[in-house]
Amino acid sequence: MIYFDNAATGFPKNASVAKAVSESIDTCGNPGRGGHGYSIRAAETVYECRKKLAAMFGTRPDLVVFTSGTTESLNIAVKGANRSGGVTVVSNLEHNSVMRPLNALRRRGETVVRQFRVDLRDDGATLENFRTVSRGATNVVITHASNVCGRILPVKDLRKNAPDDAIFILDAAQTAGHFGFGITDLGVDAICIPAHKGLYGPMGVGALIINPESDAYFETLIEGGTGTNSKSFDMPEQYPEHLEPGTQNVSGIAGLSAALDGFEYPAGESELFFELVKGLEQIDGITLYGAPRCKADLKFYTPALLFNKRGYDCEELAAKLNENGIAVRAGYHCSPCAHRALGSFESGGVRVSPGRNNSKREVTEFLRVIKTL
Amino acid sequence: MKKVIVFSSVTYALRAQEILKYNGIYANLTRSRAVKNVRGCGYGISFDPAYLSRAEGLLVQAGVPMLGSVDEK
Repeated sequence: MIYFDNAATGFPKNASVAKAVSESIDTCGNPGRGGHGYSIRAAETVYECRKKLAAMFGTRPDLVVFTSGTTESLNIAVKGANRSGGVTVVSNLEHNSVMRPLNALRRRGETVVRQFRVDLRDDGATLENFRTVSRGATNVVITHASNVCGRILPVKDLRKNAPDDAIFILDAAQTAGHFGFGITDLGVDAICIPAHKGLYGPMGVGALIINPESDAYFETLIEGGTGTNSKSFDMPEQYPEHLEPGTQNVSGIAGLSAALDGFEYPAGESELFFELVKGLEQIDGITLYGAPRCKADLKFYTPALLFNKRGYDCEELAAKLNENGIAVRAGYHCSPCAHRALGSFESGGVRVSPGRNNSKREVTEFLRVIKTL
Repeated sequence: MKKVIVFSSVTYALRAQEILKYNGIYANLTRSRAVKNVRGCGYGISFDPAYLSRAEGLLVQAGVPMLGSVDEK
């Protein structure tokens, strides 16, 4: 099977990931719940992973909050930062993991949502569009890169153009692990990441990374036991336990920790991505949406490409590719906003997303199959 | 006799243990009665009392919040 669905989950994982998950099941107790060796081992396993993520994103270990994934991280950040009467600004490329929590707040009258248009060809125009809606914003929630077309947003400049006191939350589901970035350098208050995509860790783990220079304080989304300060009915005030009620996914965190050992940002993804773009452009009946136009554009993209083929429904085309041993994802990719922005809202589309384990030979085979269909 | 510095979480206790180790002070993670007496359940690090002042200084400098310190047999 040729796996081109890395934007959904990075695959395959290193063998060390499954080994670490398995070993943790055999050796770890409940972290932060006891003084015996099994509990301490688990706490140390979790802390090791905190340290690795903290080093990767430029924060402190205690400001790495483990979650079940980017969606939970975003829910904590979006709802935990919202104050009554808030105004939240988002782009028109956001995933439903941003739009649905915000819509829940909006329906309860707890925030107003304003959206700005990303200009895929001109970051200056994007910033201008942002400025027109961001005056008075209390919160900004932005995808780092579209999960549908891969376009990277100019986050650092958006931060600079946002009101100083606005809380800035970054959805890095599609960028964490693809290239390096630091939270203080970007100037955002929080970054939400998954373990299982660009970092090639297990599914069911993610993190909310908090900026050590930020004044933002995220209220709890859910409450429960933390193994500490047990006589109080209030959650601990300090991170990470403030936002980590209940037992952590130690096995998943152990797997992520193993995935981060010796981690290197992929060097060949962009080349493969560009081969795909150029190859598809030359096939009759193919429509690309929001794709890079030339090699120079690649710096604005993570490797996710949306297309359709004349005469095929996107799901039908994905099924045909699957029959030919190629895994892609069709439909709306949980991002109706992005599909509306790209002009594929009625049809949906096929997303092809190469990763670090793909080869040029696989791209060639993919293009050959598409031509024959 | 040992000195125990108590923290609000196992994360802070592990961070403190690491900082002290880096500075040549070896401490054990503990969840003793001394810790429990400070604030319900919690974690502490126990070490030679001779290092208390230096240890506290290092942790203050590193921004690791402490709940207090107690003696433990």
